[in-house]
Amino acid sequence: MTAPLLAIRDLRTWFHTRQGVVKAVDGVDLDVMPGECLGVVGESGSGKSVTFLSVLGLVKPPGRVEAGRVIFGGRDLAKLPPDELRALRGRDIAITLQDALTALNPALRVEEQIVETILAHDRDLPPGRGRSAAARAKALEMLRLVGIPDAERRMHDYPHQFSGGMRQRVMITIALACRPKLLIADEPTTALDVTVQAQVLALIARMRRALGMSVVLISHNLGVVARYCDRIALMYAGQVVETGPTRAVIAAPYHPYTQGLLRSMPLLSDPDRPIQPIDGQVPDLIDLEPECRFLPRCPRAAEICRQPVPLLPMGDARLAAVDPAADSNEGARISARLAAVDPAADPNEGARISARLAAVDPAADPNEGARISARLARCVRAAA
Amino acid sequence: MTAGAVETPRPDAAPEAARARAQSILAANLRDFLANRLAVGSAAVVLLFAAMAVFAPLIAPHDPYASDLFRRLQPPGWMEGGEWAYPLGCDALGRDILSRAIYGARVSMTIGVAVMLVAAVVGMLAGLAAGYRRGMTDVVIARVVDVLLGFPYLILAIGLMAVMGPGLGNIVLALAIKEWVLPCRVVRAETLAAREMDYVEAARALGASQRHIMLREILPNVLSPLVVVSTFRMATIIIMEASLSFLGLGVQPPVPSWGSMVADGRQFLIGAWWVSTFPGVMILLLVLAINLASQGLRDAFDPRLRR
Amino acid sequence: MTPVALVERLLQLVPVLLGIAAVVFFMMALTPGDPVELMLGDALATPEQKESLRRDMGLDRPAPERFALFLKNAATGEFGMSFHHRRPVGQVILERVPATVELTLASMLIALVLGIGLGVLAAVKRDSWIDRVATVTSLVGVSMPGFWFGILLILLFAVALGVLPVSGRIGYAGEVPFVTRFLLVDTLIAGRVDSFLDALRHLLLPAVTLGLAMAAFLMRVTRASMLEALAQDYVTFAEAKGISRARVLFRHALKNALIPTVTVAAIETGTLLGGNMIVETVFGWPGLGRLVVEGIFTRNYPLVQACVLLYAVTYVLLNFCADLLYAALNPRVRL
Repeated sequence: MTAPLLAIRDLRTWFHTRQGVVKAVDGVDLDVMPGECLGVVGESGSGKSVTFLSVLGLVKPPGRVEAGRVIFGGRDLAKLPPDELRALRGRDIAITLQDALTALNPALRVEEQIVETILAHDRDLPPGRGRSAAARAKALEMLRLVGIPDAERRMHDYPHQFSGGMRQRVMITIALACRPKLLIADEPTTALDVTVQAQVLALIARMRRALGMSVVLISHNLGVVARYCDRIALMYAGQVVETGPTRAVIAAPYHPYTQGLLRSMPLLSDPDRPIQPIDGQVPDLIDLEPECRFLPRCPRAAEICRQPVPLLPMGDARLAAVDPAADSNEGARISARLAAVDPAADPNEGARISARLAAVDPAADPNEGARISARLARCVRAAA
Repeated sequence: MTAGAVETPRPDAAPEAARARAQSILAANLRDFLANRLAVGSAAVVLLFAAMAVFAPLIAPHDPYASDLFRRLQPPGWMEGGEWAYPLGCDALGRDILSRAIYGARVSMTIGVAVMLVAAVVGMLAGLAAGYRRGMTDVVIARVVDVLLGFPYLILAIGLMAVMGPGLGNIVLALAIKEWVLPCRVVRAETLAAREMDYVEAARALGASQRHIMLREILPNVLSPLVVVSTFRMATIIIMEASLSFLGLGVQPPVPSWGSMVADGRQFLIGAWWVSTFPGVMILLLVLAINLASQGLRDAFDPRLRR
Repeated sequence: MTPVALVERLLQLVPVLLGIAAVVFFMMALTPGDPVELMLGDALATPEQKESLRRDMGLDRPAPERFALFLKNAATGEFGMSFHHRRPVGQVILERVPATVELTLASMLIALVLGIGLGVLAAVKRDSWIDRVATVTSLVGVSMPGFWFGILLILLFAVALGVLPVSGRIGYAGEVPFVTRFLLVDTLIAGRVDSFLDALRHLLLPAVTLGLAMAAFLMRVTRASMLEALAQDYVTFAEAKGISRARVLFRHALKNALIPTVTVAAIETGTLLGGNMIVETVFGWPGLGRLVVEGIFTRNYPLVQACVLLYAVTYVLLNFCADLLYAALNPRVRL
């Protein structure tokens, strides 16, 4: 089992406002494996952007990372001195924001905005006079790579002189200028026309292969994520409610929120299927009870949901924050699935079996879980 | 926001709806303002100054004009040679500085309020006309505004005072002649926005007269920003009056004005610092209070500027 | 900006300048009394002499014609005789301009450095004690009448501490021959370092007095616009690039924050120009502002008229320059 490129553990980012403490991110666990594309899906306010801004140390007051570990390259980014974290940003982990129009500086030429990133990180640049010329050449190369026509000339333009799609490409160029190991693409298509959306997503996919990097695709659009991501994570009200391989999660979601989300999406394959919106609203993130945050909207709410609901392994390398005991059919289905898969074919067999144990009784024995698999340990800790 | 802001009025209820909307917004704004303790405290200080101006004869311990050459440049009460009957000391003619400072509030408050009101009314009418009627009216007013903005405030006021001569009425005129520009711009912008609103369209469709639409439909909605900008300007007006009086172009002696009192003390800086100092403190206190209060008003009444 | 756009923009100034000239012209028409009598002052003249002077001054012509003459004279710097000085008004003014320009530039420098510097600092260190002190200071600064602040400075630094001179541009001992009439330049031309320092010491208090109000105002605007810039996505994105903090603050945030600041600074130069009268009076600074105030009391109307016009035109041109700077800073604006 390979180690994750980025591992987020029990991340808590709270905003201290006058009205109270907004727990925008409250105990998030996520892994990003090398080379994979992870989709993070959730409504606005679910904490998906804040999670990754926290990873980069870019949360501004009144927001603050209260707790958690962010393991990247063997180091905990949450404990890194600001200078070291800064050196890592843009070089190892890069981010693109939702709207390139606001993310690019309106008062600076595009050239400067790319070149400054390269100058800040690139160690291969020749010293002395040729330095900025070399950085400029690299910027030009990257601009061409992302497909900006007439890049040589357009470098001198200001952001407002580009079209929406081209602007998005410029932003991607800046993010990729130093060939990062991980690209966080925050809502890369939301601000764009539908026709341009596909181009930008295809570009990200192409660059991912070309540079061999991992990508985190943050989106509120399950359809976009389903198409481009190996794995997905669903976030609700500051917590991850379900993760797993994209296909498996969509085919058979465990969490009622995922299920609701899928039911609320129109399907091209079945246009006549009635669309069922999820009733109710995302809860106010101030003064939350330590209960399942989906409880007020959950069609399967039960008494046990009044307690904190941890992420539990569900097999197939999947986790979900549901209480299997609350729904006997669900429990049965898990067993059915596990039974249906040949254990020998699965390298993570050990994890899976213990996961199943944990799914039945999370309080069973924390030591045992930790011994058998790291993933189980996490889930038990989350339960504590 | 209040419910009134989002409801769409029926055409036949347009005037009532416009008024109700304006009223409910005003009520909410007032609540916001009253919750701001610093601003309310400052407003109280401004009112205190106003009361001081009105009741000056009752408050002042001495006649502000009575000179007593034996008390020439007498120091404040706590200093050697001072006496507590004249707590802030006396000026070069032996007049009680405290009493003159109290009377000085009359000139400052009178001119501050008068210029503010004249400017608000003129600016409001001009702004309404320019914003609602557009066309030539707008162009002409815009040109006049441009020209007036081309003059530094104090230069224009000094030039006018120079040719008109001193006097309370002339000060008001010299300041108001440029002062209406800012209210005018604010009201014009608000009017431009308001004339596109549904309730104005509805009133127009119902055949209401231009005057009715301007005064009954649009005016209630431009009042808040007008009040905010006007109170904010009062601080500047008071400083301008003090500056004119300091230069000897404002209120003429022996009438006590803070600005001229500071000027009086200029010759005696060495040895009698109190003559210039205390009237200046009065200006600072009043202007500071007005600034803080109007800042509170702006925060409460102009949500676009709220942080 | 293209030359064509520049010319277009300059042409837009024409109606404003004409309007200003008209206001100044009519302002003088309000002057109480007969201009001829005023000009002659106490000098005795026969009715015939007065009549001929009236004709020479063009006072017997209709108003539009007189306005045209006024415009022509104003454009050539011909404002008639300053009776008080017995010399042409233009000449008297020209002698006084350097002192005022020197003072105004020094104040502007203080205002820009202090105002923008503190504004940026307060925004970056938001809610720190620096921010609080700067905010309160600026509030007091905008609420303080300039003439009184000047007097407080005199009381403190000249009277109580005795470290700076009370008034004037330079001490007797330090006087040097006029070349440019900018004392900071002339003293250096004369090679007198002691004089230069003396001139600087004389300049300090008036410049601080004049610059303070503008600095206070600029600080508030800079702080607000800097805070707004710092909250923008492009700052977050710039930080995400891993470039230095200084670059994020000064290249990314400040460049945008300066855009509104420039406009406000230009408008605030009006305070500076008007403040000339006050500060030059307080500190006995022999500049244009004091000339105007003296002119008013000696009823030297041609002089006052010319100065008011000069101040207004300067103000308009300064604002025009600010517009150009605004466009230079903000690539989205095309003039």
